[in-house]
Amino acid sequence: MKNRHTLKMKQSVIWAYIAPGVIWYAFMVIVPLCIMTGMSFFDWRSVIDNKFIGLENFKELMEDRIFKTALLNNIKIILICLVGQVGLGFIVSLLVNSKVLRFAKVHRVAIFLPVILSTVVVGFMWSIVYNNDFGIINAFLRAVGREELARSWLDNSEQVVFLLAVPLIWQYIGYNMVIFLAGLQGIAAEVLESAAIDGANALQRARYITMPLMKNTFFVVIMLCISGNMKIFDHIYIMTNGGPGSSSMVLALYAYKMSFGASRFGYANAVSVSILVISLILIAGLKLVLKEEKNE
Amino acid sequence: MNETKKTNERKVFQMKKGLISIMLVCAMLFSLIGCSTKNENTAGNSGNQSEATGDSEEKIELTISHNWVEGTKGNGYIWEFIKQYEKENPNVKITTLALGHDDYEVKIATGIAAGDVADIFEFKGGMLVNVDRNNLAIPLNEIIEEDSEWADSFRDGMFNDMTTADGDILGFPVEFAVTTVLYYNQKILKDVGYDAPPEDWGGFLKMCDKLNEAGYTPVAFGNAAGWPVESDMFSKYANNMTGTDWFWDIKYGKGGSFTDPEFIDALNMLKEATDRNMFNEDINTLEYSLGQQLYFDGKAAMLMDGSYAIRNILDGASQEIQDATQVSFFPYDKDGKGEAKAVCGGCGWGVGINSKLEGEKREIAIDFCKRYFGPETAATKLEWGMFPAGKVDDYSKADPLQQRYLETIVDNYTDLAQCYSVHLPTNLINVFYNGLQDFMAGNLSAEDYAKEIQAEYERTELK
Repeated sequence: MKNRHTLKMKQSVIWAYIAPGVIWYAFMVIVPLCIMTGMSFFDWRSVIDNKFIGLENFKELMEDRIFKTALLNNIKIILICLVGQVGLGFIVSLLVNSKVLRFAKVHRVAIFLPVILSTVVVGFMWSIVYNNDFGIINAFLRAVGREELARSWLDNSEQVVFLLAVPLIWQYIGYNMVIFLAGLQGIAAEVLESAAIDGANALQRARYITMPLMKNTFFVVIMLCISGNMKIFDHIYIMTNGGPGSSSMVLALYAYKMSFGASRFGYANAVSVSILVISLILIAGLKLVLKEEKNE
Repeated sequence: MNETKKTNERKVFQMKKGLISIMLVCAMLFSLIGCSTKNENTAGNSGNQSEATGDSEEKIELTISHNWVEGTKGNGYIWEFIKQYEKENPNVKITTLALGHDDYEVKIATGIAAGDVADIFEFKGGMLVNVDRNNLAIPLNEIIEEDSEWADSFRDGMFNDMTTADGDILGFPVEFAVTTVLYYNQKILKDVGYDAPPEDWGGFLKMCDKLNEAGYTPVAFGNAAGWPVESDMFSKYANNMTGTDWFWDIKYGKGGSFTDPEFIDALNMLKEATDRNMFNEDINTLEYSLGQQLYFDGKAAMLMDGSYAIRNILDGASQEIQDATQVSFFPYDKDGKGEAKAVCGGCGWGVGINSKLEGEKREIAIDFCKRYFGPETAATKLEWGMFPAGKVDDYSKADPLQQRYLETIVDNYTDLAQCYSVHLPTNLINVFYNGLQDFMAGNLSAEDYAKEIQAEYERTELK
């Protein structure tokens, strides 16, 4: 009875502990979010030059050619990264976790290394890789006598999004690998061993034992992949700045260009609000799908 | 016995733990103190601030923001001038906030929108509407009227880019920049049978075909940022087809539309140039300076750039390339309304004095700007590889390439046409930039592109 009393904290003490964090979070996230949403209803061009225009910014968004391209590009990047970052990340984590792979630690470090690099560095590095004159891809093609295939890779507006996704996959595959490894290590070795004794091969074990047991890990990784790629900015800003034209434009970059390039802060905020709403819809959709699967 | 040993070990462990905690806390505190000290220094020495001079008497501090980052010859003079000014006026301390061109453009546009600018601040002509609307800079009309000798020392039209629709002059002209100069490597041109580029558009395109056949890139361009094609080339094509009056009508909302056939013709001129492979293939993803590098490396025969490129040629190209470089007007389509020897340009960027400055601070800021931008420094600026807005008659101290430019272009142009990004508001120019690359890549037709610009133009308040 006495113990229960000591363990029970006073309500006021709990709030006092939570308060600093809540206040910090509110001022750093909630308040700016509210201001941003408010500003999206204004034609906000400068501190003294702004007027309330209701939903005009959002109406304009619906007809904006570049906004549509940017949204489509974000979705394309998410889909490519779901295969590349999540799919390959899972396969790599299985390999690193398996007993057949030698020097597992070396592989783990090598694959994780790009994660700690600055995105600006990665962007610069890959823009050099793709460069027409001194890029390694063209150098290789010229060395093997296939000069006709050498080109300015990032100038092709049809392929540019796929080419930009490559460094994204390259950089973050290690990040997903680490999360998957943590999940894999949570699976009891006995389960896998008994499956092996029952005659399940490596692929069957991955498909019928590992994957179902790692459903929650997958959810986390997919969610991070969607949210990360909805707000993707730095790589593309460095490598193509959304170009050529708007063929590699993404929503965050468009919001940036509209605010700091065109000084249309209200419209830029409408773009940012749309990023938030679309991300929430995608995450909610994902949750719903997983919940339905669980119920089944 | 064992019990005592364990207790001792636990004590040692706890002591170690305590010690490590104290060390960590100290490290954190020191790093915080380190940060704060560093911040204080940075606040006082932001950018490459000039050294403080004078003694402990109370100093009048002024801040200046601009894009002349130290490192190139042409950018160096302002830093020298500040040092000299501080020496002559020991009670003045000038703190500089300098950033590279593209970064500075973003920073100052945002600062102007937020109403937060330095005491003396450089801004682009296209930002003039916002500077005026937010009442950020003092009008210089009185200063100009009071000191007519000083005002007359400038070249004609230098204050145009800094004049609002109501006639207020809000900035000192930074330089006389021509944005459309054709630089060519005479040696390469001779290889394909030309002494100089043909003046007519058709002939010029034919020469470009020959250069392509010979394995050269006809014109080097790095247009990743969007502004180079617009400022350094398209403004001239547009002037060629529309003439100068059409542009002034557009600027002040007196008539004309971007969907007019003349403007569409100008866009088609650019498209024709792109389709005939006049430029390097990666024009729209290559950085401005990397585009110039193709010319410096002798891979490209020509460079369509501003007068400011001379500084880069002198800094980056070999002596051989510098010697082979000649200067010319742009090729001209005689079906257009503009003049053949029209160039786009003006001061482009200006320097304003913060309207919040009062008393002695304001007086010093005015004195500093009048001296730096006035006749006193014009000749010296030429020696530093700059192109002063003030009149200079003697070119002998300038570099030979600079002299060729001054004698060919500056002494011979017949009309000073306008560069779009200097005169049109930033939101409109942004639509220009956004569509330009799509248009060049063939993803957007000339008519649809013109409609996009016109739609934004109609949304824009021009005053």
